[in-house]
Amino acid sequence: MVASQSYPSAAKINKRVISIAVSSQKGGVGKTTVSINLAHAFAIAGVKTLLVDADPQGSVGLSLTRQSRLLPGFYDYLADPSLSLEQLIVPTRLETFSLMASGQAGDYDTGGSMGAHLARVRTFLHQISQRGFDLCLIDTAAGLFGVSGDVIASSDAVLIPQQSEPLGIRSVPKLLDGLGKLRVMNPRLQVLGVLLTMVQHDLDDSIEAAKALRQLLPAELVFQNEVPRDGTFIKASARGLPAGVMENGEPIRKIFEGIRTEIARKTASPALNPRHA
Amino acid sequence: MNPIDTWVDTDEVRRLAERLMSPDRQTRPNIQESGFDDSFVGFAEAKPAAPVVATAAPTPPPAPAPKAAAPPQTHTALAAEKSPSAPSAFNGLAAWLHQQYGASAVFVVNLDGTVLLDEGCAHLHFAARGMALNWKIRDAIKPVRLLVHAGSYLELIPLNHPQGRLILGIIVPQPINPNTLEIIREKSTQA
Repeated sequence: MVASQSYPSAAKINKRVISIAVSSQKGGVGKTTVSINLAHAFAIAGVKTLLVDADPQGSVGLSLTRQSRLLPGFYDYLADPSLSLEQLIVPTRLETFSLMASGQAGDYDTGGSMGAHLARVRTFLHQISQRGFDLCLIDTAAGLFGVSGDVIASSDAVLIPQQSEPLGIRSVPKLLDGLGKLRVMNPRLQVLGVLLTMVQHDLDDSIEAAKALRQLLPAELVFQNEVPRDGTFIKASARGLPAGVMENGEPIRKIFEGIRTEIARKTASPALNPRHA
Repeated sequence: MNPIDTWVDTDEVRRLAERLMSPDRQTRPNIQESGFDDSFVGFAEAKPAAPVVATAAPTPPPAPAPKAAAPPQTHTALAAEKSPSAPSAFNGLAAWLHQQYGASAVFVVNLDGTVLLDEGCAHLHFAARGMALNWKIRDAIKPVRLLVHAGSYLELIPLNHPQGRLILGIIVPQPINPNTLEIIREKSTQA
């Protein structure tokens, strides 16, 4: 998916840029799948989108670029103040869609060291706002601590993918408590809500778990759209593409368009809804 | 059978959820932050912050305490904070916290974000300032505990002090229990 042209430098300051962390307490809930497809949905809607891989596993990069293991990225930026964003931002064939890989820095600290990278993460987001982007979508590592905590404590909003299964949903109280503490550090943080993922309509337990979560939380904190478990995501990953552009990807593209619309409404940001601005 | 209700305290979950939906974002524009200079890269939206790496600290950072758990890198944006006046009225309180509870570092911040005492943990002031911002919005706030390293907890304790509302930050090896919290609060009002 990655294009070879150089990224054009833009001096224009875009104060409307919105940063959204895609985060969860648990791993394996579909953060990367949601991040890639949501970023693509915003990009095709005309929103200048930067998708940042802040997960040291480098899942976004591995999904979309073969060279991702060679690219410098987000963790290199944290480790090396001399790196500029131009060295890290990777354009794609879609003009409005850019990527940043997780990078090569080897001493990632995703453990309990909270606040150690906070100033650097905030500088990163300020610099992104000077590059003409409308949206910075950040795929974080699982957990609400370490660098992931610093990203959430610096972002405008957080979106929480949650696998539609009983065990995952039982972890929701811990998630809410953790977000409450992070909000002490970042009072402006908007919790966009929980996005149900891997929903299996042919499995009663999955349906029941989704229903129970909707009964448990205020409607505003649960996205109306749900992401189904679908083999198209695996096929898309194998080809390095968002699922929405696959031959059978139209239903998925519509779901993520719905999620995009929900986010645009929740944030009330003209930048995230350019066609109607 | 509902697969959730038998496993979680639904009232508690709803309380936590309501807290996340509280209108802090809407009330925030009316809050005037002070004690932050242009290099602070936190909540200000009106003007872009100066690049952290290019900012020179106008005043020397406070001397670190021998046991302070400061990170290896110094963020100049945070180091640019005004140095607390020395000797601080809270030095005695800090010494007592070191002795009684094994605190490795102590700091005190007022609601304007001004640092009244710091023992080398400027990188954690943001948390106290966030708490101070919340206190400006709400009538009362509760203490918050954050795990900053393995075996290292930051306790942020709101205080009603003769000098006004203050946030006391303590880095301790173990979480502070409610009884100890009350003792610390009482001692703090005498500082």
